[in-house]
Amino acid sequence: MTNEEIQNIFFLECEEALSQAEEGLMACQSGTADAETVNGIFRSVHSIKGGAGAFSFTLLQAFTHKFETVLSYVRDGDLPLGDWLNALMLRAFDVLADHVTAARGEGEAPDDAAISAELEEIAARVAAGLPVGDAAPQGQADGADAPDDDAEEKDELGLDFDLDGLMGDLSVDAEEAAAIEAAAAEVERRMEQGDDIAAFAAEAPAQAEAPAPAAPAAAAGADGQAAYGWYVRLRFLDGALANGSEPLLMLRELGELGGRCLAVDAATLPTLDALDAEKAYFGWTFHLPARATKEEIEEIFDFIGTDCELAIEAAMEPVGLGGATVALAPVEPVAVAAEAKAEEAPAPVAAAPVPAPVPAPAPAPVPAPVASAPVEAAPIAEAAPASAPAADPAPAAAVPQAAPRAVNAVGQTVRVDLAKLDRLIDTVGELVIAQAMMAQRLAGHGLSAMDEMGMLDHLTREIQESAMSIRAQPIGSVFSRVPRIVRELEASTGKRVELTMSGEGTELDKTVVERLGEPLTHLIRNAVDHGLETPDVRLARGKPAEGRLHLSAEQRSGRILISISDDGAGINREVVLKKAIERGLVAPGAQLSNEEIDHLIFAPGFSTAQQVSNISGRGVGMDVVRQNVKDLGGRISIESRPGEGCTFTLALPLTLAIADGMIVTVGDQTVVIPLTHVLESLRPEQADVQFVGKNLMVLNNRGRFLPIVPLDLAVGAVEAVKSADEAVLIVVDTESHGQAVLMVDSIVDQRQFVIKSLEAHYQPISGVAGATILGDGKVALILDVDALVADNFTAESGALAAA
Amino acid sequence: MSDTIHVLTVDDSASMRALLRAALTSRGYMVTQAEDGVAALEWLSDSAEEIDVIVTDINMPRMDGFGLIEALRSQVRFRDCPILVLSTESSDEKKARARSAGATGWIVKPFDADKLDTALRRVTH
Repeated sequence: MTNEEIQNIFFLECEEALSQAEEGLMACQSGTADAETVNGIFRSVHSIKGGAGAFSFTLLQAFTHKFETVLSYVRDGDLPLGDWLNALMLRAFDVLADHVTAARGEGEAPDDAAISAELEEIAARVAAGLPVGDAAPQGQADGADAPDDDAEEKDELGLDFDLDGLMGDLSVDAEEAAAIEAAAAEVERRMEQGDDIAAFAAEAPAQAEAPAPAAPAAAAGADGQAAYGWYVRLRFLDGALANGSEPLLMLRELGELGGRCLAVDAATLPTLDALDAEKAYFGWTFHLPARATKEEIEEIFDFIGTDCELAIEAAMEPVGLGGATVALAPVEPVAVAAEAKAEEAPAPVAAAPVPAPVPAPAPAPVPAPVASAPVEAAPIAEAAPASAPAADPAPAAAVPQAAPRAVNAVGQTVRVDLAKLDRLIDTVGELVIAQAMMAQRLAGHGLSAMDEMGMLDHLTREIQESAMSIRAQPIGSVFSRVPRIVRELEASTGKRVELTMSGEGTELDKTVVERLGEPLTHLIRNAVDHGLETPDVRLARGKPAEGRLHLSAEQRSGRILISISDDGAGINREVVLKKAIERGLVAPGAQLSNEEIDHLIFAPGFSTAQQVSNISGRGVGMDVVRQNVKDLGGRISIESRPGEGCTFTLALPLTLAIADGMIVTVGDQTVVIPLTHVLESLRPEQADVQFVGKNLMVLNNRGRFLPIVPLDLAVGAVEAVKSADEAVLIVVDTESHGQAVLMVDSIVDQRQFVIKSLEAHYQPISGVAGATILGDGKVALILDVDALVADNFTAESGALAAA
Repeated sequence: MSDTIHVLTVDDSASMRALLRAALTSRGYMVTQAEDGVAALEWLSDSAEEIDVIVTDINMPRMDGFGLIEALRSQVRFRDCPILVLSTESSDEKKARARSAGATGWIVKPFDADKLDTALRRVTH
């Protein structure tokens, strides 16, 4: 998996986290939040922060950190939920969402200075035990003590970032390597001489302390470096072992940094009978070379925290390569014949077993003395706490390996490359066609009633539906963006909106879901900006101050219906008609039905806003909405109730791969007209068709004259019906030229068809949207009705308007 | 017994799991992943495979890292299994809690893959 792919997973997660957080925030606002809600919000923000750090989105990380801090106070009950806090969290959430978008490279990083300052101030106040929120003095955002907060913030974040640097370089330079080798050789020599661990453990009591480190810090540079290295004195406390820490690991880490043990203080070591295996008894003094930084050393003991005493001091002078000294408490009864030896060997003897800088000889020698010399072994068992598990039957290592299972991830979802999925769906589409072809062929031989065919038909459909459902996504992912849009609109218009939603779980094709965002946003803006009245107007009209906006989705007969309804003023038809006439969209005096007037708002360049606001009303909105919906193979309709409100309904196909179409013949050709364009089909009376000029035929359709496009010319068919009164006329709705009429020979069928791209296999052709394979195996072109009609009426349209 | 170190990573974030998997498999580890404490315990109790070391996040739904560590430490089988915490948190308070729950070490996110490698090799020895 490439880094980019992992990053994409992160962005998916961000989206999930954002929608979870938003859901939680909504619950807070509606007062239905409990502890788990707040915890969920915290976790969502926290998980974004984690990934942001991993992928070095520093701005996002910094902001999530501030937000998270405040959320943690809310979670811990230090900040009570309330209107004021809800509003703040929602604002922070919006900025967070923008940060995520920016991290994805899809926008500018938001200006979070104000909200950041506010969050920091609140965090600082809570930390200081000061009142926050409604009780606090106004003007939190200007933060008089902001500088302090900033400094604190950097420190805290610094922790995270410094870690990479702390990794350091474990390589050993030549000089050190030589020294280490020498030390190792010394250890070996002494071992050979029988100067084994048991012997040195018994060395003279209370022997020389470690070379006393003088005047600390003086030799340490400002950058945490020390010319002569470091003295590290440490003692593990009782909790160290009981808590599951591994002192041995830390000693080993010291060894990896080049540390050598100078002295072991075993003065508190009790006799064997009083020894508690869960306690630590030794104090250690190490010397670490100058190449180790103080931070690196501290880092080792970071996790053990207060379970050990640690002192790190810079060495003032070169520290020689000596062995370690061991200081024991006077052991009276069982003293092994060691006194003499202590006299003989005033110099420190033997390296400590653990921190040896040579590659990990550590616990290996330990178990042996345990068995052979119980008395002396006591300190050793202590010195190497990790040997306790080793003495165990080592459950982790010894249990026989069972047949490895192929379980690698515990999860219920599989992420699939979209291209693979599309290929599957495409193939299933072919399968459906092949099945239909076979059925048709068998029917030709009188075998249509075969049981097996019925089964095959059933199974094919099922496969097709499951394949489609893989691509399906709940529309909730689009709906979830709406609350924010509404909040922003409330803020900029001063209107108040009560938003309700239903059918968020309705599923439709991923591409449709993705491309639905824009038109839906437009419609929401339109509803709030133009539909809903301001609170005072609403009250004057006897409506509640809060305008209602309902968003719903449902599946009905193979299509998805999405409706946006408001209880605002509805469409002012008088104003709309006047504007349309002003703009030359409608001839003065034209008789239009209410529905037709309502639909005028979709005409290109139409805008009824008295004032052009920055939200909608630029006159590019609604026609773009209609185009977007049409591109998705859908239709949009309006139901306006003046004074009571307005409902926009989008009817969308479940998938883009399949569409409803009318299969027609023109001469020797069979073509498909997408049903989204078809208004009606008819066989005209002779009198209904008239000629305008020498070539243009028009249909008088209940008093409106619609241009007729003879399809045979457009698709190059031969032997088509030439006379309109013998043909079938199909009234279609187009984007650029309103209604028009297609003249065909006959209608063969009306059914779903699988759309195949012509562009991908051949090249784009104006007037052709794609191709499909018919039941008999023939290829039929799918018409692009908009382009086809536009191509035919580039010149004649002027004449048409006059008619 | 092979030399391959088998790591169980527990993290609710899919991207973090992917990062861990990429970082660890490329360094020769065998990686098993769980998305929270409950899933980890379920996998461990169902599986006969041996886990050499566990790396767990703290903040997770259902069962957090502390709960997981405590649950593991209460089982003889995992009493001595090294458990490293991998968390964005770095407060002493949280570390102390992890320590008393029985964690072996603490690594702060964002993690450096080499450093994680070093830490894993050290604790699994």
